[in-house]
Amino acid sequence: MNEDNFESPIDNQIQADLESKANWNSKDGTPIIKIMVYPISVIMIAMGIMTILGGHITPGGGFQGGAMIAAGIILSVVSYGLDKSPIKMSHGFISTLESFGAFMYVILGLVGLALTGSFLYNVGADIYGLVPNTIQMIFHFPDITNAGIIPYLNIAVGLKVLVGLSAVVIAFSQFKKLGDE
Amino acid sequence: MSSLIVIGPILFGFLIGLVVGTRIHKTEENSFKLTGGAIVAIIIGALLMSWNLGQFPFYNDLPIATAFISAVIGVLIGSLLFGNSAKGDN
Repeated sequence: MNEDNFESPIDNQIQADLESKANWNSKDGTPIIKIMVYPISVIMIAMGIMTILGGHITPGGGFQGGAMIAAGIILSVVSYGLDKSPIKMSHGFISTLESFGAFMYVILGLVGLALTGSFLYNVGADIYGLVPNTIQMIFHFPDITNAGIIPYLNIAVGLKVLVGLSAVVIAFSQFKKLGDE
Repeated sequence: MSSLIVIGPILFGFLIGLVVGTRIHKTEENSFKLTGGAIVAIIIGALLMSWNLGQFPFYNDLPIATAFISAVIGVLIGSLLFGNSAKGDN
């Protein structure tokens, strides 16, 4: 009897396991990516929010912070795939946040236009003393600086950028699927 | 260190984190599941990061980055409260 051709059911099972393990990452990500990407995405999103909120006194701002948040979302989409990504960006959410950011920016500009005649006048800081104190207190960002409406403008821009860049990557990831249909 | 806590970055960091966190599914199939241990690990990592970031962005209230840590808490709370109802258009 030739020993090379001898195969027990246990050997077949081991061979099948090895073959399945050899292809374990053919469709899904590795366990390292599956475990690590989610917390890293959360940390990247928080770093982006911190960059947005420090934009009036540090390097950064709305666009940079929004791009960092979008990078966290894109990392999750690229690693898990759009279908299995834990971060779900729906069309309604994207359009709502984009519209809210633009609306907030225009409203802040129109407040300055209505009260002082200058579009985007910083009614929260009011360095020329043109608006009443109550209006200034409403639009004053609650921190130790006298930034006024600038952090709010950063937030508006950040919301627009985070959904805009995320939408671009989500659209790109769907083009092949769209072409197959 | 001043005793006055600056509420601006804490409040708005939490709010923006809550908005983004509402889209984060915590028990997506075949990907990471947000268990209790994972939440504790993320919070410990975020505390270490915020300690090393220091008083960013240059406020003098606490020796940690308050905007960062409030954003992490906002993301986690938003994910736990509203995350499972998030649906994508794919």
